[in-house]
Amino acid sequence: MYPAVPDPVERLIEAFSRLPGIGPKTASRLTFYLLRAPEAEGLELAEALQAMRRDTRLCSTCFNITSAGADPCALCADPQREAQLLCVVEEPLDVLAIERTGQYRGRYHVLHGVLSPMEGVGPEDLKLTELLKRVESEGVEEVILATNPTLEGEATAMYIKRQLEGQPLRLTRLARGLPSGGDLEYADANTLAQALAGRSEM
Amino acid sequence: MQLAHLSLANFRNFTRLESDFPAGATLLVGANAQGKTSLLEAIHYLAGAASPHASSDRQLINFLALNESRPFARIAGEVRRRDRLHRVEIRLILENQTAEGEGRVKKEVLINGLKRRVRELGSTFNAVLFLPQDLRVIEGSPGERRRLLDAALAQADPTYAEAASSYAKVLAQRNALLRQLQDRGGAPDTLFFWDEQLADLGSTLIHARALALHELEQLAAPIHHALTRGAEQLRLAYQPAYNPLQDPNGQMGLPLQEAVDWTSLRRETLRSGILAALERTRQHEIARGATLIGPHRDDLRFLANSLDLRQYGSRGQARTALLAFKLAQAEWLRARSGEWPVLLLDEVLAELDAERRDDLLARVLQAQQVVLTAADLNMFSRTFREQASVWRIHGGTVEPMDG
Repeated sequence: MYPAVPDPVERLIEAFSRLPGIGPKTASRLTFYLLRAPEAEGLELAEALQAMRRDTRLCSTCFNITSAGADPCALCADPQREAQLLCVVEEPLDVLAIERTGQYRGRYHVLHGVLSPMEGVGPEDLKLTELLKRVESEGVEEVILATNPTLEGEATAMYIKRQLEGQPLRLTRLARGLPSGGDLEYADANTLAQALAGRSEM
Repeated sequence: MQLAHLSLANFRNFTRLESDFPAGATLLVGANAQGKTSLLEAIHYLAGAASPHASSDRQLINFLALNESRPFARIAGEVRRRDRLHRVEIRLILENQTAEGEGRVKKEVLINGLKRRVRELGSTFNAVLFLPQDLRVIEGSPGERRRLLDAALAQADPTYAEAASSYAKVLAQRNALLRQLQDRGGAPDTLFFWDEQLADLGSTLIHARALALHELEQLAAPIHHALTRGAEQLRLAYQPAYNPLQDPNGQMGLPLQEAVDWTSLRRETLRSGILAALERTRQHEIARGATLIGPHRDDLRFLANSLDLRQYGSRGQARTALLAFKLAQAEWLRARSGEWPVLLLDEVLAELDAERRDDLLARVLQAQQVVLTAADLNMFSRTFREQASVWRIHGGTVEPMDG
């Protein structure tokens, strides 16, 4: 039997389908699009991929993604940012989400994951020792635990809390509750119960 | 409450069904394998989307539909509850089907057209299903009896269903961590969070189970007494794996004969007790690589005149005990929600003498709606047949029969 498509094409389809959210059909469509597109377009993509690998690093301070020439990253190097305030998140994308609020003027620490014994992720697999070191050396006054409100996110927050016990600092957790523009009637009971428990003075 | 209309697509042997259901008693008559039991299962499925006897949801999808490109089944009902109509719909969609017919079943729940969680079904529709094949639960493994109690609680209390599903996740993570500690050693300080969660959710479950079982026993005992003409006294004995009343150094388990009142236990007492017990068994748990304490190891036993039916019961005794439990569950749900759940009784009169049949039928007629199946219409007295709507079920279709 002859192969339906030449090997290099098959290889690219496979490479695409390994990406999250892309199934075999989309992978084929992308591949055949690039096959027909002007050569420059394909090469541009390849170049961008290589440059992304070549020119990015993890910031040695906060472990967010940064460009190769900029370590510490722009956020860590910014003197306007309050060094006393440290926000701990799971992933680099979470930094983006909090930055979009425009409300936060402190610094970040990216853990690169959460504790999940089932997936074999323990404390040594996260940037935790680095976090403890920063808290001690950078004069941090408040640590905001902004891990996701999932079981694993809570486990990680609780673990960090235990590790930081006895340090002279304020430890806070993001509030949970109703989304703005939401409707009480459609909120699930758990969210509503949390919003009720975490209600605030007007 | 009442199921006013049922609509099925590709559910077991029903490719399509549209049927109104009257209040009061409906008798489904038909030979075996015509779909009587499946119809009861379909109605019961609307109350919690739980497959009967731990079978997979995939088996609920009609086998012919499985050959289609996107196999699905749909169960929809119109429910009258406090004089208001609610639409409940469950869609089962088989995804990523392989050549061997494997795949994952995606469940979608819609209540009045809005997507909802599975555990919210119980707040709209309640039903109690008696199946003769459930008899094996009485003598089966503890897990099957836990399922019986958990299913009753999940329908009555969405917060219980939520706690139970969180508990299962915590347990899986904690067991994985214990296995890691067993293999590679290391400091058990990462267990701290999972211990807290296990104790927190575990005490919630134990507390709810103890209370529910106590209430169910109060309701089941008189029913059972009547069903056995006063010959037997039924007890539902809770056997928690973590026993808060037990001397920490004492023997495991309580003698069954001793009636224990768990209801006075406070959740906080249970919680701190579980934490202390986890502390004590730490090394043992790491050595075994599994969580040894908690409601996932609970049992409940059915006792008739102090005899454990798991070991000593006859088939008839097990049947009566299960029936009393199910009828008690109906009354219990009614006491909690203010409305009778729909009663679904499969071949319920078999193995009962004429006098007990009449007793039982009089009792189930108290409910707002009851659907019964029978291979033989003559099991039912003339007066009962005259009060009931009698339907014939044949090859996956249902039609009224002159009764």
